[in-house]
Amino acid sequence: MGDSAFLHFFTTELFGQWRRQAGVVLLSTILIFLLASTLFVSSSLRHSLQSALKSESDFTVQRIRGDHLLPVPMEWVDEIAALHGVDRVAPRVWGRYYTEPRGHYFLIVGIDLLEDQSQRALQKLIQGIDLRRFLQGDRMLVGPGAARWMREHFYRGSFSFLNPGGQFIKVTLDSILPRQSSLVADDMIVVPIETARKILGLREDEATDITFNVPNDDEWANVQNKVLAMHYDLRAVSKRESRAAYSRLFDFKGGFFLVLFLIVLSAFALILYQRYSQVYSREKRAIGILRALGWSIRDVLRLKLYETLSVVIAAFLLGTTLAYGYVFGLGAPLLRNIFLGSAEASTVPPLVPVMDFSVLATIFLLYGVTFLAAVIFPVWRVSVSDPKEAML
Amino acid sequence: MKIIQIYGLNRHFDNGEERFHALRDIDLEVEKGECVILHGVSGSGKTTLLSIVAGLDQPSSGEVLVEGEAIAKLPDRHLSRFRGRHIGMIFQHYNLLEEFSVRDNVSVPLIPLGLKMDEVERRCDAAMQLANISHKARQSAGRLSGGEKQRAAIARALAADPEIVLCDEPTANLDRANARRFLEILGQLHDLGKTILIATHDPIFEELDFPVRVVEMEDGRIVR
Repeated sequence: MGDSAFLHFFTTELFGQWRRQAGVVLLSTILIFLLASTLFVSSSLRHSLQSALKSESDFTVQRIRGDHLLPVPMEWVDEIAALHGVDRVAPRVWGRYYTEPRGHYFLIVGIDLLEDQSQRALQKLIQGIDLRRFLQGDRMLVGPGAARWMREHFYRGSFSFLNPGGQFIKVTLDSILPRQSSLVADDMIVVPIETARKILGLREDEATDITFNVPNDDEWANVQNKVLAMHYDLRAVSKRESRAAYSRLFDFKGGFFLVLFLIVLSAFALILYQRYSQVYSREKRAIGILRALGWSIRDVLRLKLYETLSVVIAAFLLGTTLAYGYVFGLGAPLLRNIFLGSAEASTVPPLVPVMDFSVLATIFLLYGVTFLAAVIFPVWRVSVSDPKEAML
Repeated sequence: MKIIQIYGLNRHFDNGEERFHALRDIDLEVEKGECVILHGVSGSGKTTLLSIVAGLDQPSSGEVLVEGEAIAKLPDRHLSRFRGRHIGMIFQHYNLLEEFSVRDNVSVPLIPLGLKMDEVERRCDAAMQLANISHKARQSAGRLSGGEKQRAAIARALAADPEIVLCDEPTANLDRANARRFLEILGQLHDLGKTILIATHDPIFEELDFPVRVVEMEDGRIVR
């Protein structure tokens, strides 16, 4: 088949029927946009969480009685540090702080000068801050989301926290954490460790939890068992367990959307199949004419394959571009809340752009193959029938 | 030289337990350059016979040779190419692709032949000129009058320069003036040495000013 003549005919057909093609492209674009948005949000959150977890310590030790988390005594730090194979043992003072109006949570994180900051992510965040000056009083560094909330509620230079004892602790705003602090720091408030204890109602010999590293991977299980044996009310959670828990959560939500998408895609394929096999008599007639004028079944299928691929590629490019803009430009309104939960709605972190090409390939294959099958199979059926009948 | 040879041709259609015989024991030979008119009322089997000669339908039994080729036995790809190169079809309802221009319609049989674009253009121009439709080359087929559609269909049938032109009730949807113009074009085709087979019951073909053979058909048989 003369390729230039064929391509000319193909483009004439494609653009000559643009109204019909535009409808299919529009529907396909919406489908791909929905799927790609979901996968972009999911990949971005997964990536941010994994980055955050990567900078976390290997183990976190908590004190738990019944279903209540209790402050950890500081002497546990020395007990854990005495174990062989354990490194960088550090107490942490942190906690969620609830405030009205509109039920809002902040994450209070205490730091001190001497502490070997267990959270490497936190270390990065406070780079460039004059810690000596910062630690001298009740001062705070706030994440972008927390800063926005305070601005919206007219807290300008300071904020008064109400501690469990009913006392107000006035803390002065020092500066705002960089926007890139993303998922881990959006609603975070970093304060000197003593200020954190006051806000959270902890004594001087208490911490929220203790973190430590075990450099030898093979020793993880061994050390974890030894730590667990120290106290009956001690819980030691490894980074791997946290990562698995987060993965399960996002796999569940991502999987839920994937199932929804497959249902919609199946419905769409069914509509296409119906259209090409029954409703679209004009299409049948055109195929019959081509066959009667010397086009073989292969020629007809080639034409329809090119046409369908053009629609699939156009819809794919449009859908993924729009989804990229919606997720990483606009911050995925609505969809983001479904993934993160509506309680976090006012301080949801910005979504960090992550481009996972395997995800894009999956969308393309999943959608493209279904679309092609839904169109090509009925076209093939018409092509192999008597051309005279197709023209009637 | 015999260009179409049909021997003992039968075509029947089964509808449940009933069998309808569209063609019975047809024997027909057509010489190269001859013009044959298949004449008969609707349902006499003219169109079925044309469809079988074009390879658009399969005989139930019998032998059909076109240019010495048993077309019923050719696989799809070869049959399609054979039809594209050797047979031009003019249908009763023109069967143009309405949203395409006249030029694009005329190019349809040329595309599978593997010609270069400039050769396709050249052949389209020649065919449109012969059918006197060049002035409407860019117009979409859906906007043409009945006579213009007929001429576009003629140009399309001639684009691949086939030896055989098959016409199925070509004047059925034309007024008298356009039907006479069609006869003039047939005269030109005859002068070019084309073999022409026309299925019709229109008496206007008696006005043709070149020798024709009239084959009378009735109930699927050739009666005269």
